[in-house]
Amino acid sequence: MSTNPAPSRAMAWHIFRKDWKLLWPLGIASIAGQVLLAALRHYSEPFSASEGLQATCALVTLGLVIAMVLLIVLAVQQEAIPGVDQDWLVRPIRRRDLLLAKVLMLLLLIHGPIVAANLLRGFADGFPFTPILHAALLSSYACALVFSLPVMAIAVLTRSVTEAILSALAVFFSLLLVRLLVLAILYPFTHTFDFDHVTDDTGVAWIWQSLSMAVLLLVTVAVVLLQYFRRNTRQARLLFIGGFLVFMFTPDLPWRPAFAIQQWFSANPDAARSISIAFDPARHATDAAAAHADFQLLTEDGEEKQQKKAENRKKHKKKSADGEDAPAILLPLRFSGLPAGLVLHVDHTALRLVDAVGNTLYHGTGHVFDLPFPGNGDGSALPYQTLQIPAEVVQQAADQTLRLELEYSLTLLRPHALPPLPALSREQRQSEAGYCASRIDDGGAALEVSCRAAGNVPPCISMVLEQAAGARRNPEKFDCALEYTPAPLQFSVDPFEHSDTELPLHDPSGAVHYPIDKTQLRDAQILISVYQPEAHFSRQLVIPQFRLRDWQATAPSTDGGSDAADATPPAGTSQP
Amino acid sequence: MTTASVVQADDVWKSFGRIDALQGLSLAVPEGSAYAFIGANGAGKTTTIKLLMNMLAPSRGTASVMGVDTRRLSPEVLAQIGYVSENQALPRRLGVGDYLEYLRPFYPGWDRALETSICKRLQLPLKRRIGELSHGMRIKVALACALPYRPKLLILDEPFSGLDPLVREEFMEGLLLEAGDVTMLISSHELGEIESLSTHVGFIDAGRMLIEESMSDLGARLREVRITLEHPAAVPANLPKEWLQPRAFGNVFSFVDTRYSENDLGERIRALLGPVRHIDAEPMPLRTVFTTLARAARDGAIQ
Repeated sequence: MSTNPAPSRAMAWHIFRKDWKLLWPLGIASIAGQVLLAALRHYSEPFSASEGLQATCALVTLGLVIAMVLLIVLAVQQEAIPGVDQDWLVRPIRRRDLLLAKVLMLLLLIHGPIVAANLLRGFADGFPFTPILHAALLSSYACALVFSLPVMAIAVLTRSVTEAILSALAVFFSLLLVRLLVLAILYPFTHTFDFDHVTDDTGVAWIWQSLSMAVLLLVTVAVVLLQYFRRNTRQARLLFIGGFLVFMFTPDLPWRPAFAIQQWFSANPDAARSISIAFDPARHATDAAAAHADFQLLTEDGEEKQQKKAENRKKHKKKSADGEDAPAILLPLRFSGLPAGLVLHVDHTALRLVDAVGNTLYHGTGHVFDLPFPGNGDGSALPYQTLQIPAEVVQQAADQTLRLELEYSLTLLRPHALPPLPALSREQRQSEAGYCASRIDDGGAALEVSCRAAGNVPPCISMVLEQAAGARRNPEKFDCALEYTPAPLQFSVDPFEHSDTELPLHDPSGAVHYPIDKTQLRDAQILISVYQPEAHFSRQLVIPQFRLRDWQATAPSTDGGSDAADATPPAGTSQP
Repeated sequence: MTTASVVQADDVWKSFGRIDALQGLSLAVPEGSAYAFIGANGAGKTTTIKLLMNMLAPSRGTASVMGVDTRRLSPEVLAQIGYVSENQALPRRLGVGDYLEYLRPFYPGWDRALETSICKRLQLPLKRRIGELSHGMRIKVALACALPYRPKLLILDEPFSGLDPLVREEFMEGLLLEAGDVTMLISSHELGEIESLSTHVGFIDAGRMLIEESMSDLGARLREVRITLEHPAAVPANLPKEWLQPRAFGNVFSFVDTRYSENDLGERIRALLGPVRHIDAEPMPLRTVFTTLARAARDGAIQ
């Protein structure tokens, strides 16, 4: 007969063994699901998987998620915490040992297999050990953050699987309702709700998302600890709901502080010191299409989303009396002091229209745009910026002299060329873009280039098809979803990230002839450039006298006229 | 000389929302005693026990078990306490044998031979899952899980509830034969079962302890008195408050004397009721004590 209690680690292992005895079928299902999913993903490389394989992956993922949820909830609820009748409460079981046993179960049956399966997948894909291990560990961490810990937190707050599922659904729908109510208060008289946040689809989205994730981590860990060490279910439930509310609303925090934080992460802030922005009233464009032709979009997807968002907002705002939308305002700008060889990205423009007595008539955002390498040698660029101002504001103040205040959040990006890739290549190692491979698509209209990396592929790359012997090139194609997340915070559930780009072999409109077509691919190569942020900075532009009617664009879809010829407004100046 | 209390509660309150389940309850279970904790349904017995086992936290007041505040019961203290309750939620998916095997390492004093003996005596089906067992069998499993480590304190909360007489007898046999030298706190409505082993009694009503004393003292001071008078009996208006449940029929007057004293009873009766033909004062079984006190408490005769 022993006289001393067994050491903590031994008791945690003892409790884990008891749980395993009860739950081994789910444990095996979890491990097998991880391995199967990794295998399926491996066989779907390097290009997009067939529909059948994708459907199989989706089914396996669903089954795996169900198995893991059941495993976590049942393992935790073997010693349910809420309630006063559980036998374990009167046993000399250390709460620390109990928690360790459950964490052990998470590590051995869920996160261990995630890491192991991803390591196997990475080895099978030919990646070296260190990046795979790093990516697999980060992936496991991401899974813990968004999946295991929240599920565990729900499990410690409930007594059965049914209660856990119903509680999770109740909390989800309650929070959704709260969000809808808040939006209804913020945007009254609308028929649909916009769930987007101001930083969504921008490079700084990671800031509030990271804060939101940190809140989630803190809340779930606090709930679990509170339950295991204080067994105060009421407090823990309140904390859980309150924490989730904070988690849900954190990404709604405003743009300005997010970008201020982003500026701390500038690699080379001095690179932007010379850049200034001015209003250039002498250059007057009335045709929106012509104005847009002046500059190249780096973030096509982002631009499209921004436009769609603005249109949606506009659509659902209270309509003006005649029901017509106002044409966009085209603002001629002059950027000077642009460093050679860098790309300037306008992350965000906050605009405010103020009338003669100082009342704000409108505040909103301008469209994002990019300035590629300044071509005219003097470091200047002359873009037009589109400002979408609601029709009722334009109608009300079209002929008034207003003050236009613009605050620009900008990022300088430095391109970095990677070694070229043969146009028709099997997989080839790239230093930063991971492994890349190319093939002609089924219709023969484009060259598909797929890159994948253990970890993250660079968020912004450009590709151009070039004849190896000469200087002939097809148009450059960008694949940018700009995000400025610092390396230590870059992680996702899938440790192997993809980037798929299509390089067209002829102009779909037929207007332009592309020099490299399907027949010349044998001698062609793909030039890949990676764009990394160099400096984040802001500039302010105040135009003291601005008349909306003077700068309305003439577009075929709109009937708003422009008498810009009469307008000679004074130029504003930027303030660094 | 006073005996040290193994269980002590001082002015303990427990509220569930607006309901005060315990209202300043105080209790002391002396070491080596078998304490019968009795009271009507909803009086607060189970709440008190759950509070003593740290399954619930008191709203006010303090309680201690084996000298340790119940809010700080360590595994070392819990390893010396056996607990059996009618509501005890044992792990349903584990087999009986598996559960005993699981519990062993948590108790440094676990005696395998005693475990085997208890399981044999209680005829436990070691291979079957706990969830598949009847209520009575589960209670026996709970007892089998509470005795093999020879606890110093055994807390039983309605252990006989729902048990048929045979199982009840087996349970009591198991308890009396295997428990050894232990302090016991038993809450039960089966007063006949616990009377023989109880040394102390605590009567709780509406969350307050109304009577708490040793069985011998209680037996000595509580008597069912039956008086045959010389004339037709009637309940006097100025009845002493320690006389409970007065009844008169024919020449007979009966009551429960809660301050019985052989020396002056006759004198007091004669002074109040007149000439007496015969006085008969009988000790009361625990069941009658309980019903008398419960009725008196309900009617506000004792507070």
